[in-house]
Amino acid sequence: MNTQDAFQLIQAKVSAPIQLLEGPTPSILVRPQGLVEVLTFAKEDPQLDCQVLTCQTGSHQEDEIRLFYHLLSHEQNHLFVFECPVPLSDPKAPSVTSLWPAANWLERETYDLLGVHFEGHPDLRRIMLPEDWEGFPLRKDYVTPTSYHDSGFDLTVDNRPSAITQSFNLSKGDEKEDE
Amino acid sequence: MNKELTTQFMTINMGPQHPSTHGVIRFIIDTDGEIIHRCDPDIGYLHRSIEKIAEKVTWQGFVPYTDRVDYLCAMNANWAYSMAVEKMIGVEAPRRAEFIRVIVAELNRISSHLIAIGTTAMDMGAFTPFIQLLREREYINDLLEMASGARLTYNYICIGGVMADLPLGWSEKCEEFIHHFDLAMEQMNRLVTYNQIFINRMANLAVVSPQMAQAYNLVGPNLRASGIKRDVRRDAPYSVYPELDFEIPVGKGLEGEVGDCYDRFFVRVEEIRESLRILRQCLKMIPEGEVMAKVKKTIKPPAGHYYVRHETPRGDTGYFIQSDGTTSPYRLKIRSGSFTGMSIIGELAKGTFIADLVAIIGSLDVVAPELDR
Repeated sequence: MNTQDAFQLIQAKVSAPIQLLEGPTPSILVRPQGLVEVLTFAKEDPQLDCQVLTCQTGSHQEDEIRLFYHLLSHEQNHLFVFECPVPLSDPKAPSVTSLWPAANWLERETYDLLGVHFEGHPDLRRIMLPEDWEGFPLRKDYVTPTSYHDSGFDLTVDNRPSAITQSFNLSKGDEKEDE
Repeated sequence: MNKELTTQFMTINMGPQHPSTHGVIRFIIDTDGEIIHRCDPDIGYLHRSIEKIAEKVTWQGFVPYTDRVDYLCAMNANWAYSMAVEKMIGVEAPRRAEFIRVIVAELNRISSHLIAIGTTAMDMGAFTPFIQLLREREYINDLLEMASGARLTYNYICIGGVMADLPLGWSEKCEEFIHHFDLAMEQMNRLVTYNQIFINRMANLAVVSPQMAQAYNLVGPNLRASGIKRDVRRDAPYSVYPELDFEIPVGKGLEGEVGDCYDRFFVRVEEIRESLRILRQCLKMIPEGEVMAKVKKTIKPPAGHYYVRHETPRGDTGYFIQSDGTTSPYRLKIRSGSFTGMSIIGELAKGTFIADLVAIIGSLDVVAPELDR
């Protein structure tokens, strides 16, 4: 089954508004309010039969964070993409952990790196970064820190030539290459 | 005497530096005597922000980083990413390059499974098989070094084909290896696979039902061990796999229930046999010709998001790539088999012995760099 057919099937059966997005990979747009309803239908409908949440991620786009849900059916051998935009001012989305336990860690990763709060998640903690990390690195407005909590380490990269490059005449060689 | 004796759970810490975790992973375990009451994996020690780096480098510039995603099967990781970008820009690798890719990727699959098998045996206390299998793996490393110049991080498969053609006499060397390896596998099977002590240790341990495997999104050998016959090489075929004749081994519950640790172990042993079959066919079928398609120096894929699946030794690896039409990825996510494999451990470890936890980790073949990325 392709995404167009799945879109029509969901539109006929589910009350939540959805939208078909064209592109290199066609996908179905769902608002956060209707997300759980649509994904539950995709899991339980025998024609869609998406037993596996194979990938859950997001990306920062200007004033919103767009969540991506890749659902896979082993029996039917098809894959659908659902998109769910959440506003950057209030990044909240319902958790789908109750549908797929695999969502637990995938949502934790999205929370950790993009700062989306999944409501109803049993254990929403950072997973990759330390608990006390500040900011969400995969947001586009993230400024890479030069120190870690006043630890004394300065992570700024020093690009000035050191004394040894001059005594070994290395900087001269580099200049020649540039010419 | 009216005082009641009470017991309490003891929280112990396993890792991050532990010989059985195969990398830097930490487990926080609540134990009731020898039995695990709760197991909470703590990951992220090897997080190198590879997904963030991808946003800063060019499309070609990211290929060497994919090596570091999973150093046990760098060829497959190179290939998965290159294949994704090729799909985005509409380039097809030449036929000879596709065959070379299959050959090196299957060799890499064998070497990765050898480590999986060897370390599982080592975690059970058998050190000899691990050393023996490392010795066999060294031949594969040599073969891949002849082709690419590196032992582990190859950077060999690139966007549009492969970096260089195979050197003269390579195919003969590879055939020699396959012939030798058949015997080595027999020896290994006598030593470990059909060893009754090993079987008793692994059978009926940490059974994963098909429903549970799907719910936790297990992929690759871990999924197939639960009896679900799904392989990306068959389901969403890529490259020259449709022309090749190979079986997809699934768990049959040989010594216990379907989906136990022994099934997960045995599926990998059988996959090595299938990989050898693929290798034999490819060495016969490989045509002459170019190994690199014409690719523009500056790649600018059309805007949009893509999801490309690839069967690596750890299963269905998904590359989610979002492009905004510029010279570097806008967002890249690697959905790895180890990540979901790890998320099931907390559930599987409940009620098992502490000593069995290492068997469970070993049988799931979790690789830390791929887990944390």
